[in-house]
Amino acid sequence: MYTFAFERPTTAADAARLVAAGAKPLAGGQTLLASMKLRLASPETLADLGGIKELTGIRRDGDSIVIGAMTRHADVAESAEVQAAIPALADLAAHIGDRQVRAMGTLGGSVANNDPAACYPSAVLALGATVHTTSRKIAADDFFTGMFSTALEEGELITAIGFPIPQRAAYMKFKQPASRFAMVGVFVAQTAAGARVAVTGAASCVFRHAGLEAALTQSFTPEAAAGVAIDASDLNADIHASAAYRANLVSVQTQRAVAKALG
Amino acid sequence: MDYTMPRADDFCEFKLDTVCTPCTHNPLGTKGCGEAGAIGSPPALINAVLDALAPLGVKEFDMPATSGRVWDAIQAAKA
Repeated sequence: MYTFAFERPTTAADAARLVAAGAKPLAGGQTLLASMKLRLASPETLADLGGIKELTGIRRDGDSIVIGAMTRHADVAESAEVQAAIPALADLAAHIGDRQVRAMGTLGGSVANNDPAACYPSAVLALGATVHTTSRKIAADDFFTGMFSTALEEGELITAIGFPIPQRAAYMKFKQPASRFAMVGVFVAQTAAGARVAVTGAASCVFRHAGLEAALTQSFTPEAAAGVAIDASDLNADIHASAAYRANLVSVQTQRAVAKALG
Repeated sequence: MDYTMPRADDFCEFKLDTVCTPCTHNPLGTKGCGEAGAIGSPPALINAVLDALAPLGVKEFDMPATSGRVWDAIQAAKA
C-alpha cells in the first residue's frame, strides 16, 4: 500500500479548494478506488466528498427533479419523488452494476467520470439536464466532451443535476454480462420540444442520434425508430461486439425503449 | 471486466440431490467426477445454439456464444 493524505471537507467550497490544490475528489469510489488498487491512479491527496451534506438529497424544483451529486444510485432508485416524476431515471439507477455498486456509487461521480459505457450520462443528455457545479450551471449538450472527458474545469465539482420532467421516457440497457456496463444503452425522452435520444456504450462518448430524434419527434413509435438506418462507422468494436452489431443494438434498444416509454 | 465467473446473483435457486452409483472397477467404489459438468455443458449449449440457428442457415458455430458472435453468424449466413 502506498500512502496518501485523506481530507474530509464539510462544504463544497472547501472541497473545491482542496481539488484546485491538487487533491483527487472521492465520491462513491467505484472507479477511483479500483484504479488506485490497480495502480492506474496514485493521488497524493484524496478529498472525500462523503461528509458534505449540501451535496446529497433529492427535491422537486418546479418542472425538474434536482438530485445532489453525492446521492447514491440506490437512493435514486428508491426515491418516491423520482419514481413518480421520472420513473425511467429511477429504473436506470436500479440497474447500475450490482447491489454493492448501487449502495456506494454516486450520480455526480458517474457523470464527472463520463465512462463511455456508463448509464447516467445517457439520462443527463436525453433529458436535457443541467449540471450544477461549484461555479456555474452547464447544459447537458455542452457537458460531455469526449471519452472520460467533460466540460468541468480543474477544481470544479458537480454539486447537483437538475432533470427536467419529460412527458415520457425510458432507458433500455443491453448489458455486457461480465462488467454489467452497457454494451449499448439507449435513453429516449419525449418532451414538449420533441424527442431526444441518447446512446451510451456504443461509441467513445455518449451521443445524441439526430436521425432517431427526427423520426421519433414525427411519430413516437417503435416502428418510426425501426425505419432509421444506424451508421456503424464511428461505433466501438471489441471482443464483445462488432461495430455492426452495436449499430443493430442501437436500433433495437431504441425500439424497445420507445415501447417501454409508451407502457 | 471482460470475463468474469458467474456471481451469486447470476444464479437461479438450486435444488440439490445425490444419486449414488459406486464404481465397480476399484475397491473403494470411487470415480473422478469434478469435470463432468464442465465437459458436458459446452457441447449442450453450442448444440442448442446450432439447433436454434439451423433455420437461418447457420451450419457451424464455435465458442464463445456471446450475443455479438451469434448475431455475426446470423449475418454471415444471410450474406
